[in-house]
Amino acid sequence: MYKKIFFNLFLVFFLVFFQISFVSALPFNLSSLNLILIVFVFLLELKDLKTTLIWVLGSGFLIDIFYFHTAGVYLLSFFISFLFMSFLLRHFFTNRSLYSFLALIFFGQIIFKISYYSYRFLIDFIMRKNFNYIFNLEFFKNEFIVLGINILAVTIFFYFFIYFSSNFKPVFLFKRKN
Amino acid sequence: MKKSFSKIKIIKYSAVFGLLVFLYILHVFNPLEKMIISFSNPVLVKLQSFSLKINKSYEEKISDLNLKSENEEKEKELIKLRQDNAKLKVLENENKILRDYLGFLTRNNYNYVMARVISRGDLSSISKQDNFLIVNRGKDDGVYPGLVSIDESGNIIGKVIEVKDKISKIFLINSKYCKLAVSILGEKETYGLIQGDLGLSIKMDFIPQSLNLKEGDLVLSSGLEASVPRGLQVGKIFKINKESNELWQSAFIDPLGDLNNISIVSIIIPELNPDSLKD
Repeated sequence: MYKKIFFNLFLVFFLVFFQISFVSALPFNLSSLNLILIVFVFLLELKDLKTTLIWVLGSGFLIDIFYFHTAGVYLLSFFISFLFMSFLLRHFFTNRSLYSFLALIFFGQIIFKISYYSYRFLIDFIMRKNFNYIFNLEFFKNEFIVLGINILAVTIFFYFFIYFSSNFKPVFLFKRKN
Repeated sequence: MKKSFSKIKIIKYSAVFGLLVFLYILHVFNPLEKMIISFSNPVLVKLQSFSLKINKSYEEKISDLNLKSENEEKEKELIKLRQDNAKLKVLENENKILRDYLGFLTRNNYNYVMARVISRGDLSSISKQDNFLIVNRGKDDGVYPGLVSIDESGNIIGKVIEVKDKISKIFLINSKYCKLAVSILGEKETYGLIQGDLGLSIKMDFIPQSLNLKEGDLVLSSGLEASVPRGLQVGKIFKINKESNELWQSAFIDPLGDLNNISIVSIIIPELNPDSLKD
């Protein structure tokens, strides 16, 4: 049990370091790749909820340390996205098709962004700071690009995993019986 | 069928997360944070520099592609040489940056702290509205909010806005969060405040209409901020907005430093007590 937790936390450390240090300096718009959320999607599909929760907790906590956010912005945003994605997975996408993965990352990313900006707005409001984000056309254009990049990344990872696992169905929905 | 959490479990886990956030606000995790940052610093520096190498190669490749149409043979030769000397060049480049830093800083007699970039930009913000760097020097090294960071040529690249014991957050000068008192070296010295304009350029507002600014005028730090030395280069004016019916004119500034490829920065530390800045 503890061995499993520590092993998972070790991987979380590696993932977060990779995200904040390596991915953040990549060229083009690749720096907007949200590897952490992508990993949550794969964990939700392949592993159990508790393991995913360890990853959510660990990565949220670590990212908040490095990004100086006041009150666990990432911890909470990741947790809300996780709850929402596990709800979707439970009620709407009970299979391991590409469509499920794409839908999960799509909605997960949107919920993550909504939680993130809402929470930051709330914190800035409480602390009487200026909320400096401007939700203009450029902003939404960029967010759309981020969404596209993450969806593309999930597709690539999905097909990559197909070669190593028989757990996925490339396209068509597949209902599993109890 | 997938397992799901029961309502009780969701409430339980939410309470745990809430508690964690609460403890986080109370800075209960500070010693743990310090420990994690300390041991992760070398890994982060390595990853960042590896990623930066990829970034540089990508940019070189793009520029190479443009040159290709002009001179294909030279391009091939260049690529071959570049591949042969890639490792050497990275080291040489780093050495040059450090030598330039040393030269500039000792010439001007500044106190400084050299820092390596370990991360850049927020995971959630591609729009660059809060364009920042995280560097591996913090309170323990004498860094505090309000200090400026410069590149190897002495150009201001950003301002320290937040610090922790081992790391600092530097908002780049094209970020909305970075405000800096500057002066323009035109026909007449003009003082003002610059601020990043959505991460794309730098804007200086409220310049009196009577002043005759020119494109290419140099913008320097004014020295009006206690923590920022006077005369550090910021950028050059590339566009002026002057309407006859407006009370003020504004200028857009092109930063002199390369804000995209920064691996080492220098934070200038003035000889004064940081506590006196709080007032």
